[in-house]
Amino acid sequence: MKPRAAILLFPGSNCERDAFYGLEQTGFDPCFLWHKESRLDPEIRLVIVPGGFSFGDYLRCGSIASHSPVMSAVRKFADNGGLVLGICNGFQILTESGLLPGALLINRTLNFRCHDVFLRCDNTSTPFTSAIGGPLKMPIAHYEGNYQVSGEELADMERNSQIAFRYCGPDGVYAEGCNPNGSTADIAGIFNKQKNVLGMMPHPERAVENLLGSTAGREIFASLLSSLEQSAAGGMN
Amino acid sequence: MYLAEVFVYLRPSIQDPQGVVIENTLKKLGFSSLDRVRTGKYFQLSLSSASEDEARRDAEKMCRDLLSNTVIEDFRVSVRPAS
Repeated sequence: MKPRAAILLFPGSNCERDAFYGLEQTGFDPCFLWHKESRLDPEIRLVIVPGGFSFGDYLRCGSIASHSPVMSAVRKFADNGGLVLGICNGFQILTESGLLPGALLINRTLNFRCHDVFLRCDNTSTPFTSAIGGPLKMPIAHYEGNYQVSGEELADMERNSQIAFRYCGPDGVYAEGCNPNGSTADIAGIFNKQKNVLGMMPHPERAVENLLGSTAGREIFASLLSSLEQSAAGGMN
Repeated sequence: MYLAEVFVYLRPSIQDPQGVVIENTLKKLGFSSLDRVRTGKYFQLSLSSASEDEARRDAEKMCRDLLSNTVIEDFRVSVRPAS
């Protein structure tokens, strides 16, 4: 049976259909979940917090959405080890809700950056990244992707292998100008301590077909699928 | 009724690219005395709290829960009876 994946829907979400397509193409059984729902179906194995401009980015990106009823359910789900992937605005929602450390500020260049980037995966021993081979080419599209966290907390995160992705050149090595937003330590994505929550600014769901310029996003969905299949086989669900 | 005025601003250690651009523009306009610009947000809250102290506590809790992101921002609250 294909694992059920819920894609949260807020007013102003706009990447949910891409996420649906990406999940469908990679062996999941996706569904949408409106932000006013206060519970998750027990068969849900993965929650996607998609990109967009939830609540018009009012106050701070993701701040209003982080107080939606569905986020209390997502918090419980994550506390019990459930897998949560926040993409772009979804990453902002996860930092605002405290599920991930740090904050996302306006890009240092003050530009909305919308182009492909390359990512180096720093930890391939997680449910999100086990199938990742080399550097990943993926699009970004954001104005507030400048990840900031205190030096102390960053050191903690590094020790705990919580850095998921860093911007890099095409060969996977840091290259001048590869960081599009000024983020601390060239961070593009991070895990929580337990590695069951991932937030990232680049869009894996927009990189699932050669026609789109890259299929690198499939490596993340494939990792998730194999992790869920393994835990199902092991009777852990 | 009380009026709480709330200022939310980035912590000194947090970069403020908008502030830098505004600062540079003001300098270009000839304001040579300008040293630095930091941006922030301003809120007016009308409160029906029972006392001025309670109004302040309510406003401060609103700042912590929603109006500011305490990871990157500080806030300041001033309260007075609404005229």
